[in-house]
Amino acid sequence: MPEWANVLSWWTLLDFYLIYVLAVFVLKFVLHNKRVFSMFIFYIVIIGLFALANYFDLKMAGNVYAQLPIFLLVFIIVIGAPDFRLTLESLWKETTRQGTIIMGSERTKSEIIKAVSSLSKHSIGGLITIEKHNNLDQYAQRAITLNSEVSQELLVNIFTPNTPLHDGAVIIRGDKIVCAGAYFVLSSNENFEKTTGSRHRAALGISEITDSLTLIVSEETGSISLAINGVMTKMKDESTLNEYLSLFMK
Amino acid sequence: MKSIFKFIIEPIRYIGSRGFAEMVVKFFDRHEWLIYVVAFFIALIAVFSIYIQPVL
Repeated sequence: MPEWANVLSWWTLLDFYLIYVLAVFVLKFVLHNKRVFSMFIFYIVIIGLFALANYFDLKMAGNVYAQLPIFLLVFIIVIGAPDFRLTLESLWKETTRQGTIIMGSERTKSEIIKAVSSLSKHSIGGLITIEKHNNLDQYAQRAITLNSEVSQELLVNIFTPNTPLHDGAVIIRGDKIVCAGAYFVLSSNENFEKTTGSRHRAALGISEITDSLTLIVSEETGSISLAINGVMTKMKDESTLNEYLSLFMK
Repeated sequence: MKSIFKFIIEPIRYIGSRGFAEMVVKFFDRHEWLIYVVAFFIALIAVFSIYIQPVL
């Protein structure tokens, strides 16, 4: 039996397992977002250079690199905070999927379409988010609770300018309007035009971190857009919107 | 001369570049199970360097 085999025991196996679990979590976190991965690689390179300087006993580089990791860690946490948050929220999206979902009825769908068309016709800005698997309670808790039936009149009334609830989003779960005046984290996606308004960015933001569908009515142009899975699509007409909603709500 | 200096730092710059990061992240997104394999080898290296290497 080789000498090294004597140092291995069941505790080594447990030690191995704990490191394995930690490595899986760290890798999942780091490999979820390219910017987080870039920062991680940068940190690893610095640690590698420090190890190299230590190995060859390089006094000057060793001293400098010995100070770097801790400062760098603080620096990376401060600089990368938005990306860390996005990554965590994105991971949360996968882990907080509800087993059962409540989707709205045909009536709810037609009420939403009528409301959106009416808002578009009068160029009134609107933001309507329809929940699917990912629970949106954390946003609803900070908004004004309604728990009322979905109706065209109510939706139009909520978004009427200069009323207390017109700013922010309406969250719909099943056939109920859960809340109004909900605020989402804005998307920082660089692929969209810099002129994309905050309402559209909020819709993109929530679609990036949850599997919800968000309808946006532009205040400036009256155009209707739909955001889902981080992609925004402009709706040509009511029938296109109906198709998208039917696919989403089935 | 310029290219020699650039050549020294370029490999590190490439590893830290967004293109490389995007490539790696996309790859692991497609083959998520490989994360478990990489984690397994990391744990194996850790056990080797802590337990086995000192007695060799």
